[in-house]
Amino acid sequence: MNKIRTLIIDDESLARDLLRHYLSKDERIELIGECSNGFEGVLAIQELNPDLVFLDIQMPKITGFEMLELISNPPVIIFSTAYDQFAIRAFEANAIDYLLKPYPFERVVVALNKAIEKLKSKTTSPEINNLIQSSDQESGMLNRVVVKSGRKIQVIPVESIYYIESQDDFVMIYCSEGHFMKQKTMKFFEQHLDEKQFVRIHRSYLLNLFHISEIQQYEKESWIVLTRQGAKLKVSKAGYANLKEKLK
Amino acid sequence: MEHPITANRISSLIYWFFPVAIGIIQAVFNSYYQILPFTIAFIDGLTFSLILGLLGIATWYVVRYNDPEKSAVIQILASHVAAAFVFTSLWMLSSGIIAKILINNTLYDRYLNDLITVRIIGGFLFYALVASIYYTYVYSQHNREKQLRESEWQNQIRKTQLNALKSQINPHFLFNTLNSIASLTLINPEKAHGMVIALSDFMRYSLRKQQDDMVTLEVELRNIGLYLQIEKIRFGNNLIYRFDVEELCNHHLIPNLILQPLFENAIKYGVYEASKPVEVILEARKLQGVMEIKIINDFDPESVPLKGEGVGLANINDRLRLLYGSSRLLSIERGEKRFSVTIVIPDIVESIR
Repeated sequence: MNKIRTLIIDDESLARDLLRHYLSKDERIELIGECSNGFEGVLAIQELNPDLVFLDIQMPKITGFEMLELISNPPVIIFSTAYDQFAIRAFEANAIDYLLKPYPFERVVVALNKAIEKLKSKTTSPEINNLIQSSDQESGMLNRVVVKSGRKIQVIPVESIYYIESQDDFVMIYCSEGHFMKQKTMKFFEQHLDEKQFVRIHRSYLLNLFHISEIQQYEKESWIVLTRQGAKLKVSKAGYANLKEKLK
Repeated sequence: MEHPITANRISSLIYWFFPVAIGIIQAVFNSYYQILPFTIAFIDGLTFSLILGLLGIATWYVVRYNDPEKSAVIQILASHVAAAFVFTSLWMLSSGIIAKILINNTLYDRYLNDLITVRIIGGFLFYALVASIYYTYVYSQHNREKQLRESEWQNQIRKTQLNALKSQINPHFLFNTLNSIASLTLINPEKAHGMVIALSDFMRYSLRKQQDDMVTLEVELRNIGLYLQIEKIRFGNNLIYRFDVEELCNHHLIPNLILQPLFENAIKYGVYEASKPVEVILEARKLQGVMEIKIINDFDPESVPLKGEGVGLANINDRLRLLYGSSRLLSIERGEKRFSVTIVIPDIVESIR
């Protein structure tokens, strides 16, 4: 079997040093790179296509969880973190493994064995998908949304989102930085954005109240919202009721 | 405690209504039944009742200096009986003399003599009534103060506990630090040694200081220094810090561990989120009656914080308010790339109890 091409993503250099030291003792591993924040991490995963990633959770710019949202076909992930609340979340979601800092070499070997087992079966890892799903359910209100277009990663504060449009199994987020696709459901955003600020005005639209400029009646039972940026959005009957309720 | 009657216009009005009413009723009675001529009846009634009213106001001081919480019941009773004697005799004598001078009529002298017993009894009764009204007032005030103090005290205890919790060592910091030490033991044992010592000192301070209330700025900063030293090993060149402290401020007292959360915030929103070096600066200077402490950190204007930053600051504000009785001791300023928190520490701690 070829060596396992492994990437370390952690913002602390001492943590990377320790992990590098551990991995150098295991013949099966080939370390192909190290990153110190989530932005670099996303790009490195895309470019280097590693088999295995050791991933910290709390990092500058974007968290390890947010990083995984941006990767369509994630490698096998082992979390390496000091945050037990995250570790427990990961564990519940059947992550390949999580390591609580500080951890001994023997513990790394256990995690590596699991990862290699996984890689041999060569399936895409549903665990990580589960993990992402479950992180959706667990995390409370969103303060920011992380998106990617091409090589560029954007962290969007929720205030600057104008509206979200649903398109089959993904959504399009319109905001001051442009518009971005995101692999999430409308329902997810409805649940995790502040309902005082975001209103479902139509099957296809979730609207930020701060960006409304005008509401026009269009036909007997349908309306149109004009946003401050000039977009025209259809409002359904139920959506109009929602809107009236929120604007009261 | 202020005089319950004279301190307030409305209670004065209510109070004076009674002696005046009694005087007028008496005068009307006397002239109606032709016991005294009309003018004489009025001068008599008002003289006696107004002086009674004045003495009633003075009775407050007898009540005030006979606090049942401080002296024995017998002693208090004795002094009130004595005071009632003095009260009644003063009343009878001064009113009698003034009325006699004003009226100068033999018919009236007889009337006065006939009424002596009734008036003595009336004087005693009035004294007893006024004294008991004062005591009721004192008790209700005591109770109210006690309740207020108790709820404030409860509040204070709760807040202190909350704050003690808040300023405990953050587990995220602790475990990441232990991981850094684990790493250093392999690659740089010398540095690991230093870090274990810094961490121990820092923890000892945080654990011990939870009981104390006030420390000098110098002591608090020494501890902050340990914390920053540890973070500097973790984040290397990404953390630059500097203390600018006026000589006078070193021995100024501040609430213990009050700066710790501010530095944690500065590190969290500055250093943790940054990919470039971040500077954290503390400035302390002595102003008129206060010491001003300012903590400034750079931050990356493009980073979007995961969670709000209000909670920690609100806690510090609460703690300052409870200690110093002002809610305007903490202020923040958000510039384009710099965030600063200013806290003002008055020279004197308002006594809590």
